[in-house]
Formats: sequence, C-alpha cells, structure tokens
Amino acid sequence: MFVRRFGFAATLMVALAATMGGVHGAFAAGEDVKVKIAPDIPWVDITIGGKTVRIQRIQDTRHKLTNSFTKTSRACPPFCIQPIRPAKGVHLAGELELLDFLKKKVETGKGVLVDARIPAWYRKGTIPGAVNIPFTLFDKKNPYRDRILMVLGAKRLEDGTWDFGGARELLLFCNGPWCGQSPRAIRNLISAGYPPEKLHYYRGGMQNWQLLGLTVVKPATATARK
Amino acid sequence: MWNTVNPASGRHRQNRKPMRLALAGALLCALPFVSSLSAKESTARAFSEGRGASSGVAQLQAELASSVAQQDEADLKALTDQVLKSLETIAGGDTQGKKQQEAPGNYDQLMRALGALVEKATQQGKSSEDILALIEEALAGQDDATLEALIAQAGGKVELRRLLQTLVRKAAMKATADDPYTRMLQAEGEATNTGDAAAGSSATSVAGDRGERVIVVQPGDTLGTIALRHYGSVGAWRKIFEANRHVLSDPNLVPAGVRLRLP
Repeated sequence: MFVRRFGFAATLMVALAATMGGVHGAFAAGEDVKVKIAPDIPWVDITIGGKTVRIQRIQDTRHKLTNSFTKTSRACPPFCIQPIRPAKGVHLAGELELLDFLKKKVETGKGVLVDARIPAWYRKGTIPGAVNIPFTLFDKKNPYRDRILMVLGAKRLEDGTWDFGGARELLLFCNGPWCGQSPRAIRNLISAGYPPEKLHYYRGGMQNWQLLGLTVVKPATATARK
Repeated sequence: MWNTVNPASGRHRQNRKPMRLALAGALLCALPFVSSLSAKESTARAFSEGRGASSGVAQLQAELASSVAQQDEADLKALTDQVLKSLETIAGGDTQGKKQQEAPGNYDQLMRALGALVEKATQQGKSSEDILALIEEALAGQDDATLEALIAQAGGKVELRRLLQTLVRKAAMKATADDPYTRMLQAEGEATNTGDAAAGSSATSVAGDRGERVIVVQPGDTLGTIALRHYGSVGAWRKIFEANRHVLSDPNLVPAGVRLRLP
C-alpha cells in the first residue's frame, strides 16, 4: 500500500513537473520560488478558455490567514464535520491530485472542477478553473438537472434512462471538512445514476486550499454579468 | 433538423423545423456582431477581472493591432457561412425523409463548423458566454435540451465551463431551495470574507531602499494590473518593466513575491 501510494505521488510529481516545461526559461526551474507547491512544482499554470492562471502559494513566509476561514466553531448542524468519503466508490483528492486533475482532465475537456457551494460562497473566491454548480441543482426536483447532466456528457436514451458512458469526470469541493455541500452534490449525482468512479472529492476544500496559501480567484463572470 | 440531434424530442418532428432553422440562422448571423465588441473593451475587462492571466500584456498588444482584428472578422464571417451551409444541407436531407442515412455526415459537418466558429470567437478573446447566452435566448421556448445536446456533442471545442455557467445561472433562479439548511448556508456565506486570500488583493506597499515606492507582487497580479492600480493606466506596464529589468526577463512572467520598483 505504501509503495503504491509513493509510486502514485512520484508519478504525479513527474507529470506536473513535466507540465512546467513550457514555462519561460528564466524561471523554468523555479529556483527563485521560496514557497513551492512540492519540491519539483514551483507553481502550476492552467489554461482554460484561452486564459492562463498561475496557481502558486503566497510567498510571504510569515503570512497568516485573518479572514473568515480562521473560524473554528461554526454551529453544527448544519456545519458538521464530514466523513473522508461521501459515498462508496468516489475517488479522494488532495491538493496535488486536484492540480493533476486540472492539467489532465479540465484543460483537455475531459473533466470539470465543480465548486458545489451556493453562489453566496462562490462569489467570495474559488479555486482557479472551477465551475460553480451549487449542490441544490443536482437535486431531482430541479427542472434543469437533466440539462446539466447532458452538458456534463450524459446521454438520455429512448427509454428515458441515462447513459453515463461518455459523462465527464467531476472533481467536487466546497468549504472544507466542515462543509456538507459537495458531499450532498455527490450523493445527488450518484442517485441520478452518475457513476461514483467518475467522481472525485476534495474534502480539504477552500479551507485547506487557503490555509496552504494557494491561489484563489474571485469569479468575474458571477458579478460582472447582470 | 434538430431532431436528429436529440432523439428524445421526436414528438415535435414535423412542426418546428422551419422556425428553428430560421432562428438558428438569425442567431448565427448575429454572432459576428457579438464578437465585434471593441478590442479595448474586452482588454479592459481582462484586466479588471484581476485574474492572473499572465498572457494579459501580450493579449493587449495583439488586440491593439486592428488589422489583425479585421482579418479575424473575415474569418468569423467565413465560418458563419460554413455553419449556415451545413444547416441547410441537414434541413434538406431531413425534409426528404432520408434523415437517418444522411444526417450523421452533415451533422458532423455542422458540429465541426459550429465548433470552429465558437473556437474562433473564443480565440479573439470574445466572451463565449455572451455568444452562448444569445443562443440560449434564441432557442428559449424550443425543445428542451436541444442546445445542450448540440453543444455537448460538439466536444471540447465549445467552452463547456461557459455553457455550464449559463445553465447554472438559469437553473439557480428556478431552483432556489428555501429550507433552513440553505438559509443558514446563505447567511454564513454572505457573512464570509476572504480578504487575505483572494487574488486581486492589492499589492503590499513596502518602503524602498532609497525612498522610492516598492511593491511586492501578489498572486494574480500582472504588470498590467499593477500599472492600472498605481498609474491608472494599463499602458504604464512598460515603464514598470523597464525599471525592473534586473528582476524580470519577460513582461508576461511576473512571479508573486518579487519586489518591483515603481518609477
């Protein structure tokens, strides 16, 4: 098990490091980066829809969070600690796996990084490359659910059932270990028939992402339009 | 002809074809107008988004060359014509009842043309969200999911994220759950601040060695955003770049954490 884990991590590093190849020569090695993501990964550039965003860590080694993500004790319920795996068969992701997913699946159109929080949270900042699909929209009562599934690559068959063979892989996250929004989205997706093996869960969510000083973007489209 | 796209919508097979074709035609004709947002406007938007688009400056330079833009418009027009032509071919095959045999090839053609069109518009830095919103509007009231099926099958060429965002926005208006859980989520979400982690936060000013201004580049900053913030103009990026040649070798690569002198 340990060997396998290590093997996976090593492969990931090599894969991510390889993606840095295109970065400009002067900084290719990232030698000037004090706070790297991993020994061989100073940063990760992702290009989606013609825009490139660099994901990196805050370089001030004395920096501390002071925002709302320093709160320890939101009321439970509803803000309860979540199990590590929201449903059987779902893949688990940490930060490196998420970055790998962005490079291998999102950039290539094979997968979608889903911020499953309601817009009130999403607007405050999200992980670069994420699409906001609030967990409420995966509820079977939502008249638009089928259309969303269709865009995600599921096909409606003549008999009214779904073929998820061509469905995209999804990596879902929300606020972190105390947030039930993405686990709900995952369970709703599975009850709609989405194969669990096409779903990934980043339990760390915005909490761990920000705690590590990783790049957060404020979604311009959510505020700029209408 | 949309029915070849979506077998589930077979119930409307005969009636709506002409109207849909007209709609789609009108819509695709309108695309070049959507995409003719001025270069300045879209550039300003790119910067005001405050995202770490390291290609920002290059994009600015590219967009200022208006001759290039004109060439792009011509390309768009050509692609639009191609789409319309494919649409006609499909419609023809459809009315003759040969749809089953003929549609797939024509359909692929349409998909390719549509994909290329959207790709082109996206390349130009036009918001494909705008384009998709327009398509959505034009097809509103038509068969459910026609557009989704169309675009889902166009594969990676159409910007999936934008389409999802459009859909989600529409869906969110209809499906706003009003239960205690969602209300509490809403309240906590509204009260949340992410001030010190979000990109676009203004660069920290620190005292320079000789009393000049020095800033520390924050994640998400580009020379363009820094110039806009400190000089009120994106164009001032060059001045900053020149003054910092000792730490910057490429204006498009400005690593966070680097200290820049502001001349």
